Amino acid sequence: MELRLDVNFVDYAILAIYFIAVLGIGFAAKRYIKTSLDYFLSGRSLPAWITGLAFISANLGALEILGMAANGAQFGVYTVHYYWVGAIPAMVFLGLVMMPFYYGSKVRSVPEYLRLRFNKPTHVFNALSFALATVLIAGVNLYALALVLKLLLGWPILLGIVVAAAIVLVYITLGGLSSAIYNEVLQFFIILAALIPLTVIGLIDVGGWDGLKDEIVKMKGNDDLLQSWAGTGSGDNPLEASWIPIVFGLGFVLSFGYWTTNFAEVQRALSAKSLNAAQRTPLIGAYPKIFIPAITIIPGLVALVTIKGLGGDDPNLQYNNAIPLLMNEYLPNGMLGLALVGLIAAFMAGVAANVSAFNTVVTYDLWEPYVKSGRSDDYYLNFGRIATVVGIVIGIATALIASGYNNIMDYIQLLFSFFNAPLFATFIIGMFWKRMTPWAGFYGLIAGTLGAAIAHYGNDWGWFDLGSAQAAAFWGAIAAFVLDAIVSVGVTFVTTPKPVAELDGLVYGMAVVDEHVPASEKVWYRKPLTLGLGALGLTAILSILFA
Amino acid sequence: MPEDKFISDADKAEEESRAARAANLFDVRRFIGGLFLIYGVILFVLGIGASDAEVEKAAGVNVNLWTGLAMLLVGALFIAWALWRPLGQELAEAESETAGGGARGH
Repeated sequence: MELRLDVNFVDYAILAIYFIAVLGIGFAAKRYIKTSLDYFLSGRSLPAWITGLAFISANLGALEILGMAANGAQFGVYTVHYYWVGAIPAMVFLGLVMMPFYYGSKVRSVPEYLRLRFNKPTHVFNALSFALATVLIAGVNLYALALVLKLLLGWPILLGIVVAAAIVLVYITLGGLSSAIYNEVLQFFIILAALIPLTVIGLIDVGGWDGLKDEIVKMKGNDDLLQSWAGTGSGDNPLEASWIPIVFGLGFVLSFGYWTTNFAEVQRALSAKSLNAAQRTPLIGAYPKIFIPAITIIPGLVALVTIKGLGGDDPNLQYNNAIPLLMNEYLPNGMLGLALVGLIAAFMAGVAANVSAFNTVVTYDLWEPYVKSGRSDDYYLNFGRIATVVGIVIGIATALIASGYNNIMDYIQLLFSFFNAPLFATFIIGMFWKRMTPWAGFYGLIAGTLGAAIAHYGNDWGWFDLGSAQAAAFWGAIAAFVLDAIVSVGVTFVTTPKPVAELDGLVYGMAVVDEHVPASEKVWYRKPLTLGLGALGLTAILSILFA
Repeated sequence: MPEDKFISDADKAEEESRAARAANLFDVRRFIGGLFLIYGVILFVLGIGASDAEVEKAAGVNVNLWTGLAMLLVGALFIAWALWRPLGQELAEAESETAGGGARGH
């Protein structure tokens, strides 16, 4: 079956208007930029609702949307665990517990925190591995976008990669992080405008939520796909996972590692205008995140019912294409163009978030401290622009590496197990245990990364069998976390800790207290604690309703 | 912000109003509102002229019409919000609130 959208000039006009708006934001942002801090951290001046939506939008890439709709079709309502267990608790933890250390210590990046808390070798190691990870992930997003453009519009792969890269390049080089963040907020609303109508039409077509449930029971002969916790005592459920990997693997190591240490996310909060606004950034982001499953899982389930042969042998009917297939099925010209813009916007968000984190880390964490120190601010501003160009060019090259992988999600999960899981162990121990020494930070990270490597290559080369690629990545994350923790504790007992005075504002119990909170931030609905508990409570209620 | 005691108050006021204008120009709410209004008009017009086949395709819903209307409404709300509380004014208020203590940044 051919999946080629029947686009006409109206759809292309809608696409063209979007590109003009995106570039317009870049030019407007350029008028604003005076210093390198403006470029890399938006001058730390953005209100919390903007950074909060950007925070969630940086995660709402197209891989996430297409992947979660695919999971919805394959695993059904169990997919909510990726949101309610695998994201909300970590986002609340970041806002309430960790943000005071990040924002309060005035670091400009996550690696910079490691330099202050530990030492320079830890800093360099993490900055290098982070720069590598972001470029690789940007490349994956570019490649996946090109795949979708080829499938839906018939564009050649290379043309798709180059056009998308060029647009992201122009708006980030011009406007830096402000431009990336403002575009992310715009993308967030465009994605909603594209997915909500699609979800509603799908639901109307199958006779509402009840009709959808009936159809699925009729089709599968049971209601396995409509529950989220049933069968998790043993692993006898569509996800093939018991509550232990769901809660500890997904909910703890992977999720906390991703949300609390990934600079592409944390950077959004660091650009907020005050500590209070920085704390509220992930908390405001948590609320949309709670409801996003409605516009990813429901379309996935609708596609399962209405698209005959979904998930079968035809490569065009793979689960990953659930949303494009629905667009083709239901949307007339006009709305079709808007949905296409939503997908493209989501892909560009994924590329831009990583590229803007990459240029910051390369400039502030590698070039400024270790290669050319003490230059003027203008020098670093220009260097940041060059780093952006270089990052995108390397991203295009790595997009071609990603094309060698059959399943893009496997590649992404592998990257996360290598780069995020060990980092989280180092952070959590370093923040809560004053005694942890600088060298423990360094060797812990090395050991954790090695742990992920052993799990991955051992599985590849047949030393042991960890199951599917996703399961192997999950075990890799656990291996990375555990090895990092053991080595960190071990090395701490044989090396000298930092003097306590140097840890001010960096460790638990010594947080910087923001003594001057403006009156407008003392209102109850602007208090981080209220927002955080509200998000957790809402999640708990929904979890019970959809158990 | 560089603090220079030789800059006169008049210059400062001038600088501030220019900053406020720049902030308004660069207000993301205006971008979102504007884009939604344009898309809303396009979809709404397409919806008015929708053929039976198009409505039939989308499970009997005139999706362009309804999405267009919703986007017009959302776009208008964003523009109204941006005009009601201009960013330049908000920044100035935040500035005066924090003035006198705890000014953070570089």
